[in-house]
Amino acid sequence: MIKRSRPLGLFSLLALTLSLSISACGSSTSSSTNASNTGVNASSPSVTVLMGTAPDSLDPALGMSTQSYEATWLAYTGLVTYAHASGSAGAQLIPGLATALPTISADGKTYTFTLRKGLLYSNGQPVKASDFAYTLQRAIKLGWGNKQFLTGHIAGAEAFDKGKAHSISGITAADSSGVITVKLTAPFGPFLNVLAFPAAGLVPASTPLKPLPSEPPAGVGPYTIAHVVPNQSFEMAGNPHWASEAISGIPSGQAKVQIKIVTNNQSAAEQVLGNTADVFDWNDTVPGTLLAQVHARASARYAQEPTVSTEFFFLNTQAKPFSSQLAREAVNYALDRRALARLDGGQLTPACYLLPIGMPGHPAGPCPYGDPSAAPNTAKAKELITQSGMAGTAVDVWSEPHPPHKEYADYYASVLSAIGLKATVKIVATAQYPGTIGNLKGVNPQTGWIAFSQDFPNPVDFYQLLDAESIAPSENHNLSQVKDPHIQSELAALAPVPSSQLDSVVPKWQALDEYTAQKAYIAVLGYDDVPKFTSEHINFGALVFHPVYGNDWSTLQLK
Amino acid sequence: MTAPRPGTKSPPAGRGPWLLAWRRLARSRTALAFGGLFLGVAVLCLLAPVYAHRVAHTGPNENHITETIKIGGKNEEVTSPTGVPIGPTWHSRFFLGADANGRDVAVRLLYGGRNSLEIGAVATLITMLLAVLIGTFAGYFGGLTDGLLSRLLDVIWAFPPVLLGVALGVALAVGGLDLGVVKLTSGSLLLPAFIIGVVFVPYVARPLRGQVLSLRGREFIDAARVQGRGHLRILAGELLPNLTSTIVVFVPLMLANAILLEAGLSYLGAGVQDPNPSWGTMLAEGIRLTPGAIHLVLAPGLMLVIAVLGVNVFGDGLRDALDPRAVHRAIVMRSPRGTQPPALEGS
Repeated sequence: MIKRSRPLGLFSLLALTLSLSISACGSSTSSSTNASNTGVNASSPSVTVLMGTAPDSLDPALGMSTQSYEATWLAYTGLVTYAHASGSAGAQLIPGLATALPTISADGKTYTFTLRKGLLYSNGQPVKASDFAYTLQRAIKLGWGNKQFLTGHIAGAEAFDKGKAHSISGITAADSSGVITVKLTAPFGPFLNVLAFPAAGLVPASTPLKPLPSEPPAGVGPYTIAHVVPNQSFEMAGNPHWASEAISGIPSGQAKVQIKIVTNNQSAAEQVLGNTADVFDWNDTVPGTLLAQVHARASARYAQEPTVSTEFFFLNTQAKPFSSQLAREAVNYALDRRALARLDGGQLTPACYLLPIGMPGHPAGPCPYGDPSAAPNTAKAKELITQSGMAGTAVDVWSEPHPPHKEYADYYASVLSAIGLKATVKIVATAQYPGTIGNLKGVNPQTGWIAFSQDFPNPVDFYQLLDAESIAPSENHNLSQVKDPHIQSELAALAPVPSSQLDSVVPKWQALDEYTAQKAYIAVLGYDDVPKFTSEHINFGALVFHPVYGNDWSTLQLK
Repeated sequence: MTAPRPGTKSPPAGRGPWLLAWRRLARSRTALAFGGLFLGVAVLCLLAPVYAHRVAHTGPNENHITETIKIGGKNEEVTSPTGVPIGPTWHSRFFLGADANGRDVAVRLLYGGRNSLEIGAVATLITMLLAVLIGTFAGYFGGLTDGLLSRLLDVIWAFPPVLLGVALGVALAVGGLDLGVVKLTSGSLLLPAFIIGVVFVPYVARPLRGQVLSLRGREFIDAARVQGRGHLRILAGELLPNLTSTIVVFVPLMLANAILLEAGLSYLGAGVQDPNPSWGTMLAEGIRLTPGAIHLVLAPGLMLVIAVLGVNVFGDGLRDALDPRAVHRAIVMRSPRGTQPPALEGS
């Protein structure tokens, strides 16, 4: 996902600043620190989480930002979900509303699930197997940003999307037995990961077929989303029907979570440092000017967590000057990634490969354009620009205003100008940025900043960004507009490999990623570390930092 | 006709209103001091390239993030590994420190001031030109012309200037403005100047229209009509000279407002576009590093205050000089009942 408010999976453009301020209600906490399946209720203590950027939508069928997923994965459980654990353990899929992980046919095209019995939605309605098909149909019809994962792989989903069918023919569900069968058009390795998206978290078939961002539909999960004030706040209240149906592996939560949108990361960091809010937005950056104080006063409740995400400048291969590989190489030679790391408050690990550390297939070899942690080779870059014949070409550098992305753009423009191009900066409001740069007809951007966090732990997710089939006139995900036959053939061979068998193809992914770096289709800045930062009211060690969804609010405990 | 007798004095030469105004302005030392302050700021800003090339040896958009400089024999990083920029060095390089991108704040301050003042000046010019045209035409011709032009002003006036400026600035920030004959690209400084210029038109056009309404029925206008003068000649030859002092008084007022609005729009990302500096963009960039790097907001903030205060106080003095009755009225209001205010020069 491109980060903006980082959507999982697809593009979550830019970083967000969300900070949760948990107004540490000082109410008694002893009863709430005990475990487990009693669930969150009206008398539970309250925790304030600050978000720097509002979720793009709290309707699971529409949300795809990290902020949205951070909330919705706790309110909309799918047939499968992720383990609530930190590190690689959190990337493991576990049964959600299904009794077990599915049986998969020998050809890898048919998945069979059995729904747990006696499940209730947060509004008290019983959960039915047929709701699963409606849930996916609703996501497709409402235009979920990652719907290509459904329409591109489930038999009949594309026809349904185009209005040629009234339902998805590849999905059958029997309410009486709870058996659900999903047929794919071809084997797709990460398909179970796709079903773990909150968008595939079941909603009642009676849910209106319209966006419900302010009154999100009923779901199944430890929390339910309530009291939504757009762009200001919302609450993760306890699901009254969860305690009776608690599913193994999914914590029931111990505190109500009040989410407040605080766009000023300085203010958010000060609130958490001063204990007037409880959780800082992990998508945000603690300002460098405050870091010393944070280390001095709050070292026990601050940590930098590595994430599986990559920040890069896309380079439009279909437009001058980056239609020239020499010009693209020049950019890779000229970028001083140490400078970019400083702009990010020291929370960026300089790198050159698309697949980040922690993602199977991340290459171990040296970067083709020099050590990313060393000084750039500006002279070589100038020479390449001259050789490419692109000197003097005008370039618009796109970014959004959230720090440090605007600063990245300013720096990048100065670099491009220094090597012989004529760069100007175009800053678009955060909310409009993904749509603007993904619009090939109106904008067709030459280059710009983007960040991509994993939607699921499979390199296929990252390679959407270079997949020729991802190029679309609007909501384009392949911003470099790469159409490379080698990448296409490798993706065709690697995509069917199930996530559980990725180890067997790691060398092939590494080779592909090294090839991509050689072709300089993008200019990678590096990989993000993010802040895990809480007030002193929170049991810092107990808070799980999930590799896909970030801070796991269901593990929040007050001391 | 008889010649004057030898030994008799000829009557004293008449003093024109402009000379009298200048004399009154010259007596207002406060106004002149603040005018000088503004002029000083403007000259400094115009000398930005000289400072950049001869003193600081860097341009306004050059990044020096990973560089070090020697201060007092010690090597200092321009920005720390956690992104905190160096503060004022009081040396030729980074005299006022650096920003997050390792750019010289003093250089950007002067270039930013140049941009702010240029935009303010062009915007004021646009405002005054449009306002004089609309105000005089509406007031002089009346009827349908007045109705249409006044409603147009009402539409613009219906929006608060900042809101309208932001709306236009954001809408035009990406694609620029294409009016067929005139094309303004999104990064052009003329774009915010145009927006600000248009936004303020009603604030000048309305009073001018009112003044023209009161003048058009006066005898000298009737006399001009009787002499067969055309409308344009009456407008240019009779009305405009009588509006001049009002127009001149509005100029510094509009300039101050334009500079302020430019800073506001740029602060909000709807004015000067990155990486071009302006005092507004510098404030926006600095605010996120405050209070740790307070110099980033203090420097542009102070320059903005000095420039706007300077031009405003000078404008007040200019108004008093050009409109002595304003002073007269003020004195009468302050005088005890029954006392006479001092006679005004030239009255």
